[in-house]
Amino acid sequence: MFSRRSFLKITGLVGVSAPLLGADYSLLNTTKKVTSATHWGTDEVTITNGIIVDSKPLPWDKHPSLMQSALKSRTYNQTRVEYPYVREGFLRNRHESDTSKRGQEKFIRVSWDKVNEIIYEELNRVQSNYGDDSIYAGSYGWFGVGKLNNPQTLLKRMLNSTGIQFVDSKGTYSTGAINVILPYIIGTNHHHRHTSLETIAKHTETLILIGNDFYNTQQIDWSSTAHTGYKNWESIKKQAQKRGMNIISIDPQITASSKYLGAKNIQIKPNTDVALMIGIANYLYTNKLHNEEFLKRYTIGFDKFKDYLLGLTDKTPKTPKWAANITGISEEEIISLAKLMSTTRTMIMPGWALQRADHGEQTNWMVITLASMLGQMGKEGGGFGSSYHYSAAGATKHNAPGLPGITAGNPVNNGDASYATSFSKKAIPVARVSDMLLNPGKTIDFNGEKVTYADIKMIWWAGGNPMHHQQDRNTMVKAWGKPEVIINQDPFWTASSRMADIVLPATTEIERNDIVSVGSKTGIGIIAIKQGIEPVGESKNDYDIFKDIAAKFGKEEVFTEGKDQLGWTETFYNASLKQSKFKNISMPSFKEFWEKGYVEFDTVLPDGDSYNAFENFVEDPLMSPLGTPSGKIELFSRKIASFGYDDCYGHAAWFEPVEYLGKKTDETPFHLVSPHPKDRLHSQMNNTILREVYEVQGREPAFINPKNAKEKGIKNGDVVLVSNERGKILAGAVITKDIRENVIMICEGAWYDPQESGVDGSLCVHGDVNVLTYDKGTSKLAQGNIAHTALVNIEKYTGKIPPITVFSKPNLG
Amino acid sequence: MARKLYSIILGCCVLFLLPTIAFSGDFITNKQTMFTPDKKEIGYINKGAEVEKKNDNLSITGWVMDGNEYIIFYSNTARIRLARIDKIYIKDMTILKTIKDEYDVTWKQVSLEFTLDDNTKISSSRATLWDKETKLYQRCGSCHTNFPPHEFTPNQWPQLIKTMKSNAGLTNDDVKQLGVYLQYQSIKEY
Repeated sequence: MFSRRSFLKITGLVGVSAPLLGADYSLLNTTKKVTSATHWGTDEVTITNGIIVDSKPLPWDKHPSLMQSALKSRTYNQTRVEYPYVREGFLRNRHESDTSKRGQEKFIRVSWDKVNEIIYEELNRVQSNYGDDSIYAGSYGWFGVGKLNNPQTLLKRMLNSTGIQFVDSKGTYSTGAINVILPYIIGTNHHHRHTSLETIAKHTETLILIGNDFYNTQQIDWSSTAHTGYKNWESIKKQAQKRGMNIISIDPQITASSKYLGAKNIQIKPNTDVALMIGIANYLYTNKLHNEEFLKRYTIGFDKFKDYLLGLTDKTPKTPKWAANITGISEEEIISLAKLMSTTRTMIMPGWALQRADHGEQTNWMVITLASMLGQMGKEGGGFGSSYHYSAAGATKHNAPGLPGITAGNPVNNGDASYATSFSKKAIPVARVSDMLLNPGKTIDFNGEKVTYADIKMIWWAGGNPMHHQQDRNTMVKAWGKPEVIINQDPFWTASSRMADIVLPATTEIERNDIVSVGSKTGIGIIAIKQGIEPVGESKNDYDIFKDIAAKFGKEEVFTEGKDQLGWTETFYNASLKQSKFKNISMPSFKEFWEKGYVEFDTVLPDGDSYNAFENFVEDPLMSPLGTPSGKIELFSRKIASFGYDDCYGHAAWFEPVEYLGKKTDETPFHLVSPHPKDRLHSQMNNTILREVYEVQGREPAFINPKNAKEKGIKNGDVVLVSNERGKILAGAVITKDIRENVIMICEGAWYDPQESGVDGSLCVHGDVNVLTYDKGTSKLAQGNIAHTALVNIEKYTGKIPPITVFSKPNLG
Repeated sequence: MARKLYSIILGCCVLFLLPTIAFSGDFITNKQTMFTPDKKEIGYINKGAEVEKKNDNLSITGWVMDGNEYIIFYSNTARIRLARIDKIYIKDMTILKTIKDEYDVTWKQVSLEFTLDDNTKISSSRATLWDKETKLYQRCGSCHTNFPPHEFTPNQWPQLIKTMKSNAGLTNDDVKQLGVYLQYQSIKEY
């Protein structure tokens, strides 16, 4: 084993001069440079006398994100949790404390020994008093990068090591609907390899972006990123100008991507994209512009969809006129889209935003139905791709080895009598967490099964900020009052930390050693995340936090398998090294890699820029069947139909969302959308200096159309009150034609800052959009969140403007 | 409800298979070449395929799809690839049964006699077959909760594993073997 101690002995600290004549003057003024990584980039960080002084993107990054410039601001932030803390009432009365005081009472600093003892006692108490399904460990969120310090996996690893049972979560907030529906339709999920962007640059004649703002969202990657996808999009832009490609962005917002590509904008009513596509499909079919042969050879169930399309099943023919009424797009425009798509090589690129809406499952099903009718899948530059906005899907792919990471332990068979995961018998679809906490014993439908909610007495959330990403904050505040114990593990005093009983300070990437791949879909390289500075305060690495709890149970060896952090890092690297030999990739030894800080894979795969999705299937559907029951694209799924759901049929269909402009009221006449923010990763980085770039009077911007602003007497820069029956927030008005009339856009991720902390219904003075969103599943099938489905009102705020407090420390006694 | 329906369909398949293979209990441990009794190459057989010993020869039973008789699948609903046969040997397969599935595809249940050049690559224990794949499966839990095998169908698993290749640090061979392992695990009766 390669321990950290022996490693330091061999290599010395990079950049630290050797002692001169016995006196270590270097300690007076030392400078070192280390590599580090985040979800938004890879950097070389300069550290002088233990303090970060500078950071520069690594040379492979030609399109760095502004977020990379905020490393210092993030690391040395006023909102860092520096020590372990326990809520005062909880420290005194433990599980008998008044849980309504969460978010209000002061926190008391305790030692790690003390907090570990409390946690050990509470895990044992809850497990022995309430049984297996009483602890919720389904943490979710974009924790810091690193194949070892993955807090959510480590939490489960620790619980599995110690024999503590827990309730888990399923799916993600990003892809709640698509990850359930896609395997039924095409036999795989949304991560399937997409047609290369360079192929699109060469061959596509019509490019349709729907709710897809890749230019904004490609700043981040599930691993780390060198932002190489931008180069391929530049090819598309150049070729589009040269060849006269039709680029159309269907979105209530004129996005950064649309502006970048010079696209034509169709500012659709939010949540009505399915109706638009059905209207196009109807025109294609009734005018025989669809590809009958493709439908026959490669799909099943079109007949059933056709009956719906023509209105044979519900007496409503889904004509372009019908679609125009719903979408706000003229009949002529819909017809012209149908003609354009059927006469040119067309690629459809929906973003995931579409499926984070009521009946979100339908969007991807309808995209695939439409693409099947056009019959261009497998032809160069034709078809569809559901994740082009994410982690550089379709960008140049390099010959690269994979990189494994820490595991949660050995999955066990929990049976299939009720809904189960490999670790838990009562897992929930992730966004149903408030519903579960408030309604123990309630049974919901989910993907053909029934899930009965557990009665949760303890929550341990690690590496996420649920008090930002969960819909309907006030319902959630109520739900958070239910458990006896809440532990939150995070580097920052987010609202989730403030609403906990026990707060565990975790380090950020620059404070620890780890490893991560760069370009999760492009294989750019592997980077050493090297500890550059001492942990802030007494914060500990996630690995050490859980290791020490496992040790309390006498299970440290089981948890660590005898490895320290650098030992694990080397293990992961060596697994890659072994693969590289089979793939003819040149990789240095771990020691050389760690010294240099990264390894780059510069050989492009033979099909790295010319991959054509579904080509094999289209060439020979018998030899390369899809993973569906029929082996074909299922435009009608017998399995989904067999569930008998009233909110998701066996074929794609239009369902009215629970709230949208078609149901607007006098009280709530605006549709609220909450896309991914530009200068942060969800709620991460909202506490940094970058806030100065985009905030308005210290509030999250609310984008509003000039016509609506005039009607409401709102001026640019005004503080506005945005509200509905679920809650109210303050935001800062930005008036722009980029937003469709009657639509308000507030990006997700502003930190929740209630005027009265912990009180249901309190005004959020800072602009957390999820105070206003609707907490409901997409349908009985996927139960994904419906963040983009909400109606609100907006008005100029005339009261005294309250101060922002969430970016200072809470009351620490 | 769906699982029940699925079980019924699968149950029917297993019933068909019972007289021929269910009690033989020998499994191929490594992908290898199949030969005719007089040592001509027929094609290859995959790890996990169940075979029956017949005197000096082996016999495999599975299902082939009309128009694609080269690949012997586990059943008409669970497309686990047991073996791939060269064109000229298709005629040597014995047809045990012919059915039309709910998608109007004709399936034939077939058996084929063959030999291997190394009979040590057969195990009578199903439990030890998948030791490596069980470890690989743990890697899924490195980014997200492991999806239990029953959550996806045998037809879906290989495609899903393929999408996670680099995230889980899998080689091409790992992708195939982990996919096949999960295909088998997703069959309740397995």
